[in-house]
Amino acid sequence: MIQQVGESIPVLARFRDGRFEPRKFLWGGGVRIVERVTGRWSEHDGQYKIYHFAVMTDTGSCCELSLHTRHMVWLLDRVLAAGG
Amino acid sequence: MSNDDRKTGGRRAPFLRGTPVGRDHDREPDVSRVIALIDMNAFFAQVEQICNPSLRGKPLLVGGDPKKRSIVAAASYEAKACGVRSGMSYYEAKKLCPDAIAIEGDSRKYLDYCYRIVDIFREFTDVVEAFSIDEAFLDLTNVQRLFGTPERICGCIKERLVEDLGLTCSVGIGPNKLVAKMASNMQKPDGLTRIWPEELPHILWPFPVEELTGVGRRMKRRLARMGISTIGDLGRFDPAVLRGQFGVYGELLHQWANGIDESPVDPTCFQTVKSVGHSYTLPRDIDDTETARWFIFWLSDRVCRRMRRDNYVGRTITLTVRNSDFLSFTRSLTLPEHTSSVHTLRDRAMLLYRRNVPPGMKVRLLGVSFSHLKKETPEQMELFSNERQRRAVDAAVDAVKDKYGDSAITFATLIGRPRGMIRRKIGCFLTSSEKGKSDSPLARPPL
Repeated sequence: MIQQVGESIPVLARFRDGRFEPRKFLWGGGVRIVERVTGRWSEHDGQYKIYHFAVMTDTGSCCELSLHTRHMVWLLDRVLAAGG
Repeated sequence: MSNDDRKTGGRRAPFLRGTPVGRDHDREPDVSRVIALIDMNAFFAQVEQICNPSLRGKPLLVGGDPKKRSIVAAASYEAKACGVRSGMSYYEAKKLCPDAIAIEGDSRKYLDYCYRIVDIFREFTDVVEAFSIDEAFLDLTNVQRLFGTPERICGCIKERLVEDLGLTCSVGIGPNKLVAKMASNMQKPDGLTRIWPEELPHILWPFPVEELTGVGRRMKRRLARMGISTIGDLGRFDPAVLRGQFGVYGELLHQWANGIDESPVDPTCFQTVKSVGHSYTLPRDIDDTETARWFIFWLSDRVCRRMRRDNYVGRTITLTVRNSDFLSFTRSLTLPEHTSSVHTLRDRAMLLYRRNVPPGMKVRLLGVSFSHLKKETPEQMELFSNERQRRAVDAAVDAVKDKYGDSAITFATLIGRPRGMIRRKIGCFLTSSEKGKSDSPLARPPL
């Protein structure tokens, strides 16, 4: 039920009130709409920072995305399919 | 003053003074100490269930990579109901709870949540001592006039944790850390228990003696031989006999059984680092020295990187080995001088390995650590020594890692890693006194 992905993906993000979060992303040939950000955390990688998000998409799956500020690249880290 | 009284500062357990027994939650703010222990229930599992709501209400195991042999670091309450406990292998846990979902944990995620939890605690009191990643002591003695009774303060904290982070916790409130810790275990999950000093004998004394903090399996057996099976038996026992049997520790046990614990809530205690170590459960058992040497080098590199980052040097090197039968042992040696040299750590740890691991023994886990630490102070070095060159190389390597991350540069030997033997993340163990390293919540400045 957990798929490790680790792919670079295009993400549409919203920046508001000093925060940002992913809203849509393209993966597997389709646009996934982020319905809810369920978790967020961050870590340092040298002097750079990696922002992680757990999101629920319109397909009912939970995905973990991360933005690496060193390369300004979004990654789809893993997909946790609903249902178990 | 008797010898006992001298060691306890002349204080005895308040309930032994014949204070009337009873509950009164509406009494005036108490001027004596009020300590709370907040325990995040099944913390890692809770965080995973928040991030992935489809996991809520299901038995969940969080630990290492489920595809490889790993242990359960945390189990959800649904899994615990089947008998699963932290520290079990996934194999054992799955036998008890076949429907459990096993997922690989992410320590970065839990640490980030831990920071935010501690930030909430610090909105109510600045005297917060992180006991572990999912437990903290709060001294509420001096904030009751600001925020109300301890129950009210802890109720507010519980609400904030649910509203802001979606997490539940169990809270224990008592006159000291020992009682608060025991109270927090009484209602799980999502409970709030206060034990008043005069209630101690009625509440604590009927419990089995092993429920007392500081009594492990061996101590339980020794106490049983003396006819002590409950906390009450221990509390009523002659302290002189306990002291004769167990030394100063026997006296402490007697005090704890009587609810006496004067240790302060110390927000700085975890900033004092006493040891730095890393351990790693190997994906498969190994029995050859060369592979062991590779892993010991790899672990040593990480230990020394942290030592240099925090400006520590150490003298005592400890090697931890666990074999395929889950039997663990540690062996140590002490160097003549303090150092943070990775080569010294690797070579001495390998010496310990060769001396203590017999040929053919299947090794499951390896760990190395430095203790007897001190802050490195500028010292006059020989101008043309290898040590001087080593430090220059270390400084250059650290500068690269500081800028580009720890994976940016490493020893050439460590590039050719044993095939299929490395997971993406490294296990990291913190000793009780080492939790204040720079990424500990308490290493951050107070709000």
